[in-house]
Parts: sequence; structure tokens; C-alpha cells
Amino acid sequence: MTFVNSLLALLFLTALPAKLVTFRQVLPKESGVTWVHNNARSDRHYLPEAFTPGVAVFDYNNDGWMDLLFVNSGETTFFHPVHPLPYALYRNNGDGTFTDVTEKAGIHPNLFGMGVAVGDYDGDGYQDVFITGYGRSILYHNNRDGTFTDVTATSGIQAPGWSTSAVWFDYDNDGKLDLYVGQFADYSSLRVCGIADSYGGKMAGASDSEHFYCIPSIFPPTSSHLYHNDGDGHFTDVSAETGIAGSKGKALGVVASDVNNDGYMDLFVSNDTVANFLFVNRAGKKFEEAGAAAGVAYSEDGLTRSGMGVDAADFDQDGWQDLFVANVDQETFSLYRNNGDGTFNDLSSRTGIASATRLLSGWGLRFFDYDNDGLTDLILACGHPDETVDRRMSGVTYDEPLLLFHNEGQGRLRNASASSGPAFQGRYAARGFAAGDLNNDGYPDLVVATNGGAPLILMNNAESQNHWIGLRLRGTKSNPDAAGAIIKWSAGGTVHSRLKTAGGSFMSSHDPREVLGIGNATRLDWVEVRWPRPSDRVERFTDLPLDRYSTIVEGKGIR
Amino acid sequence: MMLLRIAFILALLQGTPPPASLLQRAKQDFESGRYSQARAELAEALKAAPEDAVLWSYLGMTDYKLNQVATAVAEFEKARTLDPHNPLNYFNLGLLYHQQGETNKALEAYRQGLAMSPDDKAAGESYARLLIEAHQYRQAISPLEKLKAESPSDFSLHLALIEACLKAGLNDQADREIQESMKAPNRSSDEEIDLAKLLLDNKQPDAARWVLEQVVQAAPNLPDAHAGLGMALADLGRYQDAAKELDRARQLSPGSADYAMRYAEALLLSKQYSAALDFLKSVQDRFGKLPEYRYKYGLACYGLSEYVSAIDELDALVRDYPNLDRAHYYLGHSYSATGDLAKAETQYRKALALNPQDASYYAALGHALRKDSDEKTDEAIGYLQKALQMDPSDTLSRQDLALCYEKKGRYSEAENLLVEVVRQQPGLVEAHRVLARIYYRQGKKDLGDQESGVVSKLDSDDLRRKKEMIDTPPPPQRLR
Repeated sequence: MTFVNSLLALLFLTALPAKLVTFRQVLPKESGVTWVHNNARSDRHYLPEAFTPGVAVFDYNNDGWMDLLFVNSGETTFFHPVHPLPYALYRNNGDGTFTDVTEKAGIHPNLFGMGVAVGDYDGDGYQDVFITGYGRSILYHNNRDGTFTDVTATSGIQAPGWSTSAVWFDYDNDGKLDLYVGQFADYSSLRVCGIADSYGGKMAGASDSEHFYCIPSIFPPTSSHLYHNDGDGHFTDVSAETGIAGSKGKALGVVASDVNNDGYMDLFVSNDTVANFLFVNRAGKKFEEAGAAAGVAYSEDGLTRSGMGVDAADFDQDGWQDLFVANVDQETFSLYRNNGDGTFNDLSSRTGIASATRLLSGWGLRFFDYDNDGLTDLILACGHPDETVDRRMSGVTYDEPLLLFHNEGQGRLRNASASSGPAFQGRYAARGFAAGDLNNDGYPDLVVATNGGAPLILMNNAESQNHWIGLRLRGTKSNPDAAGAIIKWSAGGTVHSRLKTAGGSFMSSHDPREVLGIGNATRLDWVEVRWPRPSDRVERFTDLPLDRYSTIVEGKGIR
Repeated sequence: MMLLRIAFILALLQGTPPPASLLQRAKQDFESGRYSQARAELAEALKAAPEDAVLWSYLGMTDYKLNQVATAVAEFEKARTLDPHNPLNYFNLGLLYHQQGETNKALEAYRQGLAMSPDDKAAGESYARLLIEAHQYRQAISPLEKLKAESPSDFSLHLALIEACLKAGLNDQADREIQESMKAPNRSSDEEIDLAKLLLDNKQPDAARWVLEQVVQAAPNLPDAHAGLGMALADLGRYQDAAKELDRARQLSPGSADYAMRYAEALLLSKQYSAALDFLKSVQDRFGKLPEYRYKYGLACYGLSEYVSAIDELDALVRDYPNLDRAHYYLGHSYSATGDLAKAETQYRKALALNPQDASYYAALGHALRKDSDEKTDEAIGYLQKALQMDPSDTLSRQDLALCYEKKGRYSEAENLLVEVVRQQPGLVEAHRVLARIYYRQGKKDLGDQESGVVSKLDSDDLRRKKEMIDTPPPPQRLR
């Protein structure tokens, strides 16, 4: 090779872009996940039918492999199935297949399920399950033997009405996981709607006798619940004294994060057709609703929107938690950058989020690093709530695509959907969504729960070959799930930071582990964990293995 | 229009008379349309009698026929100088000056002529109409009243008088004249429709409606009457009623593109987008190629939120007719609705280039630029300022401008604008929400809380209304 050719080759190589990460759909016959959601769709179109279901990715048996839990419809005032509809708990066999263990696990609630929140509320090292539903909700205690027990009756958790997203987090920093249960509107009227009061509000040729899903703006808002973990398996409703009950909304999504870096977890709640709430935690005693003051309650134009999925992350690595909320079509989704002074700016226009989502309706979503380059990317699972929308609005469809945004650094996002695999060309009635590493290769896979259909499982092909460190954090003095922990890591001199949030997405639970991407660095400098209060302990690790998961127990090191 | 009036009265010739045969030939040639020959003969005759006013009048008449208006004016002026007591010379000069656009001279000539011959009906009418044309409405009323009294069955005089009264702002008198005109003897339906058109042109839709309802009652199958009534009702904001009348008009006159398009417009204005689209499809064979048809088709699609179809239709339309600013504007709206703000901006810019006098184009472009990108905020500010300058009552542009200032961190200016917006529209809850946010961003917590209180109140009122709606079961057939 001549010198010139060598030079050209060098230039070419240095100009090569990073390898694109794609996702591959795993079909039921391959995975064994054959469960199909029943949305209970009726001629009368009761609104809860349109919102379900949620999904959880978690390790129920502590075998190190992420299992799957899908929520289903069930008996309620407007739906009476002849036989109880099956929920589905799938055990991950560790070989790409799953086994349905629902029956054995004892998860057969005959309730109209909405979503699921997973957390180790009793600190026994096993993940417990809270299932939200229409009319009632259920708390399942993990018996540590592959089975669960319904402990709702003795738990003190009574969440009547229409519960949607819930989140386990430690609001008062007493080291125990408390529970926020979002309540949607007061739907006790079971009102059904004609075309005029439906999503979209118009349709050529609509029959007067035809029913459509009601636009939620016609239903009164209601209060959500906060339950304090008393530490003995019992919870106390502290909604009133903490100020949560004072703000009536129509909660659909919730994420717990620390937006003002005061060491107390705040709540960002997306509401449908009323203002979103930003509950700022005042020293674990009160929540001050500051959505309007922060600039996250309404659209830039001062409009209420149909807030659904949410998440929080420091996507631009400036040390402050940013927020995301998905809405319905025409409203655009919002990426709120935290200004660090209690206010936020909507960056949806400048990041391309607004233009990409203008005709979409977003439910499950996640800030995550899908290619392990150390930067926080974003995935959005979409679908319109009204199955007739194709007939009423040009350009808006019931089934909608997944959107994947790659973080290009310096606060720039690139819509990478077109190059992320054939599944991103498809359209789905997506609702719940959970990210999790189903094959323990360090790259997050995707589980999308669809309304009235089979779930979609997309495996990350991990083409980037970036290195990573997987962490399972277990709090001892701090809460067992380490929600609120701040993880910093350095590789090749580049320092990253992440706050371990809780909740997020839509009525779903993500893989609770943290995967720290380090790009093409081959050596980790260090990882530092600041455990949440009451611990506030800071531990630094320099000997964590690359490309493997490690369990770190607070105060006890790597296990 | 009054015609130049003159008569070949040979006996009145003054001075040394030219040969009678020459004048006879001139007369014959003039009457036969051989104006050049007539002119030569009259010029020859004038050599013999250069001070003869009548010959100068003949010559002026002939030159007028030869389209030599300026020369004709000079010749009539000569005739007037020679014979200042002949009103015809003044009337002819009035006509010629009018044609030349010299209104004041024309009016003066008529005035002088009418002073000599006040009962000349044709001249009086010309003078009155010229006064209207010269916007001297009040002055026109008296001569028109006189003429109308002399010829009460001449409906055109009623029309002229009503027009003068309306334009003079004498609405009560106009009303009386309208009432009277509808009692005029021998009036026809066509004349009544003309009256209605006059009233519509002068922004009197209710009076036009009153007239046309009588016409329709008397002659129910006149398409013009139904169409006029439809337009009057549309002007009154009664779009559904307008659509019914225009539907009748286009049924009575199925070949009329005008009625069909007006019917479609009424459907669009009454937000019956589906009906508009169905109707347009039904007449596509007949009118589908008309730009007006295609425009309305696009608007119907837009109204139905079928933005992709709207884009297809309007984009094709502006390709074929690139000068339709309104089509560009709605094409911009359609792109905006699909999230393609860059294309929306392009279309708004085209609309603006075609018609820079429309404030809504500046407003739309400014809005799109604001929504599109933070980098375009400065440009958006420029357009929104212009929109507000042209239409200070535009609260949406004022709010848009405030949002631009917010982006730029110019909170004080944003606050001032929003305070004005909520003053103009106290019930505009969105503006209160943004104003509260602006207060908070400036650390004005008390004012922010106060504004949030207003928001809560407005939200509560809205909630109460919705609750009442829920408590009231919907009727079996609900239509928005």
C-alpha cells in the first residue's frame, strides 16, 4: 500500500460513525411469551378499556434474570368476564425463552388491572408487586419462594377509584419504600360518549348511536394517594397531611426524582387534560405543588395537555434532573430542561421532539442509554387511544410507531428510529413499556405492552460493542431499591452521573438495575455511589468488572 | 351614461353661412358614422363661420366620436365661450371632463348647465351620480330626491338615493328610502335584487335580508334571490341558514359555479366540513377544475383535520395558481398542523409576498417561527410586531410575542404584553397561565400566586360547567 493509500485508509477509518444499535423482534414461538392482552373493548367504549395494560420487567425470583409481568383486564362494574382473564408472570429461563409461572406464583387477581409498580417494600431482598386497577388495586408480597400473597387487606392500602401509575420511593428518607398511587379522573358516572365528546370530536358518517371513548376533559379530576410505609407491612395514607390530596388531577404517569438536588425525592405527575403536577418534596414532610411555577404544568402556550408517560433524567449531564412528558397528537411531547433554579424550559422544538411527535400519542417511555455510549437516549412507545381515529383524522393512526432518539451529546437528540431495525417501521397500539436487559448482555431490551394484543419484545443487538458496568444496588440503611442514589462513574477520564429514579414510563416498571455505559473505553476508572438518605453514604469502587453485572450492597461492598 | 347631445340645427348657424350642401353632407356623414369626412366638412364650414358656436359643438361631437376627447373638450369649450347660455355645452363638457377623470371640472360644468336648465333630467341624474362617485354623498341627496319625485317608478333613482344616504351615514333616511322603494310602482324582482346587492355592497346585510325575504316569498324560484339571501345571512353570521338558501339557489341554477361555490363556502363557514366535502365531491365533474373549487376542497379537508389531503389539494392549487395568497396561507396551516413548520413557514412567506397588507399572514408566520425553533425567535418577534402594528386587537399575536420574549429572557416585556392580553380577554385562561409563569420566572411569587388564583378560578368555572354536562344525560342524537 502506498503512503497516500494508507493515509486515505486512515482518514476513512477515523471518519467511520459509531456502529448503529438495532433491535430484533422476538416472536412468541421463540420466546414462549404467548400471552395476549384482553382490553375488554365494548360497544359502549368505557374509557378504562383504552388505557391498558402495564408491564413490569423485574427479577421476581432473584435468579439474576429479568422476568416479565403483564397486567390484564378483569371483573369490574362495567365488565364481567365469564372466566377471570389471565395475568401473566413469565420466568426468564436465561436462554432467550420464558416460562409462564403465573398460576404457580399465585398472581390471579380478578380485577380490571391497569398497571404495575415493583419494589421491595419490606426490604427482604425480593421484589414485591403492586397492581393498580379500576375500582381497586392489589399489593402482592413476594414470598421468596416463587409465590406471592395478596396482602392488600392488611396493608392499609385502599385505593378505590381508578388507579393508574404507581411508584415506590422513599419520600421521607426513613429508609423504607413508600407508595404513591396515581388516580385518574372520577369515572364513577361510567359515562359513555357519542362522537361529539370523544377524542377528535368529529367523524364523517358517524352514527348517532355509535359510542366512542370519551375525551377525559369531561370528567372531574380527583386526588391521588401517598402511602407511608410504617415498616411492619402496614401503610398509612398520608395524602392529606403531605399535601398530595390537595391537588386534584387526572394522573396517568409518575416519576420520582430529585429535581432540586436537596436529597428528597420529588414527584412529577402527568395529568390528562389538566395541569401536570410537580410535587416538590419539602424535607419529607410536605409536598408543594410547583408545576405552574416551574413551567411544567402546561404547554409553552399555557394549554393543558393530555399528559401520559413521563420520565426524569439528567439527559444533558448538567447535574440537574430534566423531565419528559408524552401527550396526545397535535399537542407534541415535552422535554423539560431543568434550569437549576426551580424552573424548566421546554426543549421539544429545538431537539426535534416536537416535530416528531406532533401526530403521535405517547404512553410508555424511558430515558436510557441503549448503546452504552454513556449518554442518555430516549425511547417513546406510542398509540392513539381511540381505535376509530384512522377514520377521523388524516395523518393520525391508532397504531403508531416506536420512536428512538439517540443522544448526540451537548443536548442534541437525533431521531434514530429509521435505522434501529424493522420493528421501528411497524405500528402498534402501545401502552405500557418497560426497558430491561432480558439476556444480561448489558444492553437494554424493550418490552411493549399493547392494548388488546400480544406484547412486543425487542432484543437489543448490541452492535456498538461499547463496554458497560451493570449494577444492582441494594440499600441497607437507605431504601432497599436505592431509589434516589446518585451514581457517578469515570472511564477514560470522562465522568458521568446518574440519579436512580423510581417509576416513570406509563403504568410500568423497568429493570431496576443500572447499566453504566463507558463507550469504547476499555477500563473503568471508578464508580461512586451516593446512597440516598438517611444514609448519605458515599462509596467508591475501582474494581468493578467490565461487561458484567455486580451487586453492591450499601456498606458491604460488591457481592 | 348620458350621451353627448347635439342637434344639427342648420337654421341656427351664425355668421357667414357655409354652403348648405356642405352642412348637409356633414350631417349625413355624421349620422352614417363617417366621422372623419364629417369632421373635414365641419372644419371647412368653420372657415366660413369661425365664431359659430354650433359648428364648434358639431366639431366637438365629431371629434368625440373619433375618440379625440381632449380635442373635443377644447372644441366644446370654444362653443361654450361663444355661446355661454347654452346648457348643452355645459352638459357635454361635464360628460367629457368626467370621462377624462377631471371630476371637479365636470361637476362645475354640470352645476352651471343645471343652473340654466334645472329640469334637465338626464343631466341632473348624471350630476347626482357624479356626486356619489366623487364621494359627495350628502350633496347628491337633494338632486336625487328631486329626480325621484319626478319619476317615482324609476327604480334606479331609488337605488342611487339609497346609496347616497347610506354612504352619507344617514341610515335612518336610507331605511325610509328602502321601505319606500319596496313600494315603488312597477318594480321588478330583478330591481329588488339589485337593491339587495346594493345593500350588501354597503354592508347592510340585515336590510338586504329583509328585501330578499320578500322577493323569495313573492317569487320562490328565483336563484338570484336565494343566493342573495344566502349571502346576506352569511354576512349576518347565520351560516347554517345561509347554506340552506345557497343550496336552494344552486339547485335552481345547477350550472352556476358561483352559487355552488358560495354554498360550499357557507358550509365551511358553518363548520359543516363533511357536508362541504361531500357536496364538493358531488359537483367535481362540473366545477372540479375551478381554483375556487380546489381551494374550498382543501379547506374542507383542513376542517376535517385531513391535513394530508388538504396539503395535496392546496399544494396542487398553488402550483397551478401561484398567486393565490389565501391558498398559500391555508397550505401553511395544513403543514403546521402536520408538524412540518419549515414548510408552513415557506407558504406563509409566499402568502405574505403576494399580499403584504394582510396582518394574519405576519401573525401566522411569526407563530410558526416561534414554534419551530429557538433560533428563529428573533425573526418571529419581527413578524409578530408587524402583525400587532397592523392589528392591535390581535391578542393571539400579542401572546405569541410575549412567548418569544420569554424565550429570550425578556420577561419584563413578556409580562407587559400578557398583562395587556388578560386585560383584553380576562377569560383567556391560557394567557393567565403563561403570565403566572412569567411572574414566577422573575421571582415575583406573590403576583404569580395571584395569577395562579385566577387560573384556579377559571379552571373551577370550567369544571363546574363540565360537571353540569355530566349530570345532564346527553340527548340520544347529539351533534356538535
